[in-house]
Amino acid sequence: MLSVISNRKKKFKNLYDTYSELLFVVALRYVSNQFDAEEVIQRGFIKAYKSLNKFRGKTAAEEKAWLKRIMINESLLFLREQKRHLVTELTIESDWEEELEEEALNPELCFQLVKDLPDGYRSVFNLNVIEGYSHKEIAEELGISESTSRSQLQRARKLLQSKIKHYETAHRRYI
Amino acid sequence: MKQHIDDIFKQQLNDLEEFPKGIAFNKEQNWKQIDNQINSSSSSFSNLIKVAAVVAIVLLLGWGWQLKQHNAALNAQVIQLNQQLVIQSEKQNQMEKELAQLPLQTTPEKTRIQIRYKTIKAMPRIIVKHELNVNVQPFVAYRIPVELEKIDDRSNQFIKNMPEVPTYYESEQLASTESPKRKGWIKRSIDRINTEN
Repeated sequence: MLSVISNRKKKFKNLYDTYSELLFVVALRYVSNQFDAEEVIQRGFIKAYKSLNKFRGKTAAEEKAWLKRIMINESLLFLREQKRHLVTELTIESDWEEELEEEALNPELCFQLVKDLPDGYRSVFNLNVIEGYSHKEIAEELGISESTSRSQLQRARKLLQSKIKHYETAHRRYI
Repeated sequence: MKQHIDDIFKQQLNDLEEFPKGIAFNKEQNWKQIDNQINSSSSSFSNLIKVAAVVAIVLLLGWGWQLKQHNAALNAQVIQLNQQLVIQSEKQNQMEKELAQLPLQTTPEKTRIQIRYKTIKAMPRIIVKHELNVNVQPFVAYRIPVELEKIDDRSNQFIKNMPEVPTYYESEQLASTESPKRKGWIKRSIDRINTEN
């Protein structure tokens, strides 16, 4: 019995060492605050430990996907517990294009831009664009309608576009 | 080269291999906290297992004790039955010995088997015998002659001795000396005494 527990713990420690940083970034993309992300990570890993014996995945990709899913769910649960508004209403008055120069963005900037989005936009953008959820799934996950999910995504895109423009302008001035 | 905004973000963030700058993640500290929580939950789990084990042991002991009691009662019954069987078999042996001692010529095999069968199978029963003892003895009846006169004298004497006692009769007819029945009865009595004498 004890050996089974110690083996389970060893396996869990390996998982933590391998994926904790990556999952921390994922959590941070959703909750935007470092301390909140740490809280989410702890909760998520404890949940993962409890359901480790039920997990049947064997490959690294399966492990990563499983843990990522847990962290996303925990992040959304955390946002709901914090009573943060998952629907954001902002008026963005700017012309925007759906297409951008690829070279204009690097991973860190993208991360920063997404992290700085309002809660509602960020959740929908992360779930739809990064994780690949459909609007129906997002609606079920967040408890909103599909049309709300679509409008939130559109507004998130507009906001990101405007921020990128501001960034480019500032960058050019700096150069 | 222009690309859709979604694709750019997806590509950049999915392939985010390096940890972003300006973000600190205290891996060890977080692990300690996770480990503490896991240990506390596992210790509560192990406590639960211990309690469950204790309950199971108590239940098993109780069940075992009950089984033992049941077996003891059953054994006592078996011993009692065995004793009865021994007594019965002793009786049977005794009977067989007695039968064996009888001469074979006088007791045919068939009778012996029947006797043995009856000895083994016969249940105790109460046989009520009704016996009627009839004793015949000579009986002589004597008729004693009654002297009515004397009796009458005595009764009169007795009545005379109690002159003040009132005499009651069942009816006025009987009370009357003039009653024809009474007159007849007296007359018949006097006649009978005279004939006997």
